[in-house]
Amino acid sequence: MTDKPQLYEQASQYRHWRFTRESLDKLRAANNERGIERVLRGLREEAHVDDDHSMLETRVSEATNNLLTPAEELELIDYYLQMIKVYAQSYRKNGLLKPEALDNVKATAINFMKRFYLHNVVFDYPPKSIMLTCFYLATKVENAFMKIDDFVRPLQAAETKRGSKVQTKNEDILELEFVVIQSLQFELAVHHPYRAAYGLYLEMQAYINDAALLKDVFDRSHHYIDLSLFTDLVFLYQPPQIALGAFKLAAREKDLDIDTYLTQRFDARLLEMLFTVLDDIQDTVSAFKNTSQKDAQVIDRKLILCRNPEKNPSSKLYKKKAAGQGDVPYVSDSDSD
Amino acid sequence: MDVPQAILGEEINKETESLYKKEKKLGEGTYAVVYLGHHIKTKRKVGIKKIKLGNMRSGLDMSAIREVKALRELRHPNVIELIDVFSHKTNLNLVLEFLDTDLENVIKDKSLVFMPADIKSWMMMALRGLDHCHRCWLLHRDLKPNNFLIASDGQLKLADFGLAREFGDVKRAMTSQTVTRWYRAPELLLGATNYTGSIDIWAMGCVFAELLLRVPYLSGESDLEQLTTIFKARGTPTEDDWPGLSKLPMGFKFEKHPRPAFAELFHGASDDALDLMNRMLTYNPVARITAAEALQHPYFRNSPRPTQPAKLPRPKQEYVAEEEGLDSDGARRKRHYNDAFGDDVFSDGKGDSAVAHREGSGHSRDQDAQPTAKRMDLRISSPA
Repeated sequence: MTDKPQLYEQASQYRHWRFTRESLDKLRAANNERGIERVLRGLREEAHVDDDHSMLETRVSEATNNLLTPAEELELIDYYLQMIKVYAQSYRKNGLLKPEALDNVKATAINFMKRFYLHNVVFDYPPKSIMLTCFYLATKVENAFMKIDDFVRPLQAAETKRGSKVQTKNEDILELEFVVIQSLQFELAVHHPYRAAYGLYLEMQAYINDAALLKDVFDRSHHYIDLSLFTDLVFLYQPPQIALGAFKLAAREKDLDIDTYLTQRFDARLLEMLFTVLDDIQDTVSAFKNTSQKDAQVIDRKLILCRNPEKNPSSKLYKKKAAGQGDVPYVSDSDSD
Repeated sequence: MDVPQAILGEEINKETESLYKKEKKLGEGTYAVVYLGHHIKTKRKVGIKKIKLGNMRSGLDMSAIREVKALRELRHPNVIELIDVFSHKTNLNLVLEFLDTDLENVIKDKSLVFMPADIKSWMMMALRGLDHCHRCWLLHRDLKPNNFLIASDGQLKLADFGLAREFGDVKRAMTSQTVTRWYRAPELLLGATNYTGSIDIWAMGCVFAELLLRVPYLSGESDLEQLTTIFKARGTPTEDDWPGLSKLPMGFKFEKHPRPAFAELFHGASDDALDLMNRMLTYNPVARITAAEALQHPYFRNSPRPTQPAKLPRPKQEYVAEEEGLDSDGARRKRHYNDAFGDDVFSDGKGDSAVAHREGSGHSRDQDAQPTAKRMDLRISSPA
């Protein structure tokens, strides 16, 4: 083992997107607290817009009674992270997303959204719209570009089918692109455990005799990697560590001993450290639970009452500010193709 | 960990923007404006490339995404440094290290005489930068003299990553319509959609030849003509030179050209230089030398030793060169956008969307550039 820095240490993921559980909690709590201050300030400011203070007290108390905790924010975000998985499947079915691009687009979109909410709160930007922008941006970043019209068409079709009154428009997605990319600090390259898992699979073939069972375990590890994307593991550990954790879970399920491989591959001191990491990864993935639709709806309803009007396009305050700035719309409608 | 003052994405963005001051416009294309600026506290000179995205139907374009994505990850003395990025309304601003000139300007300045040690120095720096990209699993896909920028201390840096992408996943098809034609590897011209760093090495081999010849080595007029140009200069490849050649997507039958004597054209070049160039311009991409191997080639160990960067020849009219360098950067950007951006180009159905169809010459350079395969005055004189 040398002390020479690994190439991975140059990656933005390593330099800027590594946390401890404690630092994540602290960041999210501070973010939530300041977000709440902005909500209350925004409501007061809005009352000034047409000098109508009659509703202010009601609005403030409504908001105060419905404020989301950092845990609730996370639950709501988690629900929409699940939606990315669903959308990815449907784009694959309609042929807009090639099967070989699916994993990366999905994982990158999920990662973007998780990173986004380290630098934003749901009061300002509700996850439903952020999710779509993260997804669209991920298709570009992962070399699976589709035109915005193609991206939006299936969403609109689904909305029509559901009898939904609101229709997603191109602008809904594109107008948030800068908001998202600046929150990602323009760092777009994301490393996922999928490739590392494949590398591990290749290497393990030299150590494990039962090739068929090993293949089974490798295939199954994919499922656990999928699950890991929704957790905070991506901020805590490196992709190959998560891949190995997923392998261990799959191996346990399929009754294959991969510790023989690990003991031959790593020296005892390193292995001890590695096992602590792998245990945490396995526990976290096993403990992961989706937010149910019912729970998400409850939180979503609360969120309607505690949105920050400053960032809410349908609020009086937002409209006034937008009109004042005389902003040119970002997507040109005359540009037809 | 203490929670920082600025948490929100927009707060951080504003903070970044406030660090820099734009001074004057250096050049403008349809899609980008380049400014000279500086970091307010340190006074460090920077180039600020403002990409205008006002009318992009599908939002942020692939070229900007590719460039930002690649440069945010790369840190190497021979790769242009992307110091910061910030957005202002709907403009994307890339804060880049300020670089005076580029290798094309150097090559074109016929008042400059290149010593073999100078060429070795440029090649070494270029290969180091490229090796770093490839080690990070990144293809540049547009290497050519004007994408090698040169700093005031003579360091050469890879720039313009608007076509860069990661490679190595055999299941993902990549476009063969990439790299400026004169530097495009034969497998790309034959339609390969799976390739590796070897396509960048081919381009590097062409640049090596151009440093010796002082004119582009393989300047075909069209894609098809480009292959013929290559075959005339290097001999038509056989199944022996390139196993599997006949299995490439576009199986044409080409006229058989004999392989001309290499040393005859590059009569001033040393044997080790010619050997390295030969290995970089090997037909079979698998057999082509890699950047890491090239750096281990005897050429770099044999005398003369590479010139120290600060002592390399550079254009005399520094100021003009600056302006031209950045201006042509703006022009390049425009071309990228025109090509990679037309939405219809994206849907080429090849999996990889940023297609760089270069219309016309395939190069921004003057059309009176000499055709290839003539004996040239090499202008490599003996030490004065």
